[in-house]
Amino acid sequence: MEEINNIGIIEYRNIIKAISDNYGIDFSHKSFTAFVRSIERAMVLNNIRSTESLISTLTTNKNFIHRFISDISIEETEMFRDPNLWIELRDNIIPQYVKKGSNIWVPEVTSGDELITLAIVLKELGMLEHVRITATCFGRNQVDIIKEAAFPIKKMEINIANFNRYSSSSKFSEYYEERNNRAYFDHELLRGVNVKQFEFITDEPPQNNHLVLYRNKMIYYNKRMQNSIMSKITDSMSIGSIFICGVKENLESSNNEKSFLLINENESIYKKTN
Amino acid sequence: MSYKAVIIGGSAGSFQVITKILANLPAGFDIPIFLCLHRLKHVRTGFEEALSIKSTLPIIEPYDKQHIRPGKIYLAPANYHMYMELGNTFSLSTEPPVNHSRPSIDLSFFSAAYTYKNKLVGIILSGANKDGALGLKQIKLAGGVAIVQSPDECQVKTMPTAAMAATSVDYVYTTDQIISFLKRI
Repeated sequence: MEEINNIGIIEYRNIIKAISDNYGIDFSHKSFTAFVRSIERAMVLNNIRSTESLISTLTTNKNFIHRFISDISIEETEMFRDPNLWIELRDNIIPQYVKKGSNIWVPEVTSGDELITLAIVLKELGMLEHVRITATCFGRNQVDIIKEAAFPIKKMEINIANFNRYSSSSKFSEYYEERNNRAYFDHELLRGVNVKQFEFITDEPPQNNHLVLYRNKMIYYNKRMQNSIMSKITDSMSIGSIFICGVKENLESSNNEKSFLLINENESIYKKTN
Repeated sequence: MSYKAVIIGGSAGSFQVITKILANLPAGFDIPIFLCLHRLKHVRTGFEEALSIKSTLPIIEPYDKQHIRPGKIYLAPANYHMYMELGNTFSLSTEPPVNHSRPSIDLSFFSAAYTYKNKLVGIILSGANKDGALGLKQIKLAGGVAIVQSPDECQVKTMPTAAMAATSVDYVYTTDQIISFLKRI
C-alpha cells in the first residue's frame, strides 16, 4: 500500500481549483483525509504519478473528468450493512411510515448496495411496486453502474452473512445469479426505481419524500456542507417522514436538528416533526 | 506536556494490554488517546463498555465530525476507518478495508501523523498482521515518537515485529514501561 498524505495541502487546493476552474465543480467542501485518499486512488488507477500531471490531464483532457469522478467515488461497503437497521425498517418503520404511493429518496448512490438492500426489504413486504423510489448519483457514469446491479463475487460473502443476520424468510440466492465472477441482481428489483444524476449544490431534489435513506455519505463532507445538504433534504421531506443516516452519523449540532426527533438512537433513525 | 496526542494500535492479544494501560493512567491525563483496535465488523456494541470497566478516563466511540477533547479515550468504531483531522475533529470513512481491516491502524496512524506531526506518540501492541507498520513509520517520518510493545511479551508478535522492520522505533517497551512512559509525558 502506498503511504497516504503525500498530497500536501497546497497541492490539494491546486487540484480542487483546477477542477473548479475547468468544470465548475466544487470539491472544496470535502472531508480532507478521505478526499486526499480518493484523489490518490484515482491517480493510481489512471497511472498518473504526480499532482502536476493530474492537473494537466484534468485541464487538457475534457473527457477525463467523468472517469475521474467515477474513480474518486467511494463504493458502498456491503448489502444489509447493520442488519439490525434493516430488521427495524422491515418490522416497524416501513409498515408504520411508508404507504402505497409514498416517495422514497436515496441520495448519492455509488455502487448501489444500499439501494438493492432497500429494494429487497420492500419486495419482501410486498411494497416494492407501490412506492416511488428516486436514486440519485453524482457522476454520469454511475447511472449505468447502478442500473446494471452487478457486484464483485468477493463482496458476496459478507452480503450473505449480513442477509443471514437479517434472517429473512426468503433465500438470498433468489435475488441474483453468478456469471463471470460477478453477482447480477434481478433487474426487477430496480425496475420502478428512477435513477438520475443529481448535484446537491445546483439541483432541485425530488420533493414530498416519506423516507430518505442517506447512510455514510455525509461523512465525506465538511460540517458546513453537511448543514447545507441537510437543509435541502429537510425541505424535501413531508412532516412525519423518516430520515436515516449512518450509525456513526448524527444530526447533533446540525442546523436542522430542531426539525427532527431521534426515534432510534442505535440505528440513527429520525422523524421529521416540523 | 510536550505531546498533543497518543495513538495506540493493536489486534490479537492486545485487549488485556490496553485494559491494563487504561486502568493505570493518571486521572489528570490531559491529552487525547486514540485507540485503533481490530474488532469484529458486525459487532457494534460491547467493546467500548468492556474497555470502560477499568479505565480511569472516559471512553468514547466518536461520531463523524465530533470534536476531539483532551483527557478522553477515543475508540475507532466498528466497520469505519477513523481519521483525526486538522481543526480537532474526527472524520469517519467507509473506504475499503486496508490490511483486511476496517478500522485500519495504518490509516488512523497516517492521519494522526499528518495532523499532530512531532507532537504525537504512536504505540503498536500485540497483533497478528502487519497493519500499523507503515503507520508507525509515517509517525516517525513526521517527527513523532514510535513505540512498540516488546515482542517477547506479546501474545502475537507479528504486528510489533513488522513495525520494527518498517522503521527504527524509539522504544521497545513492556506494558509496564509503556505505562510509566505515558505517566511521564
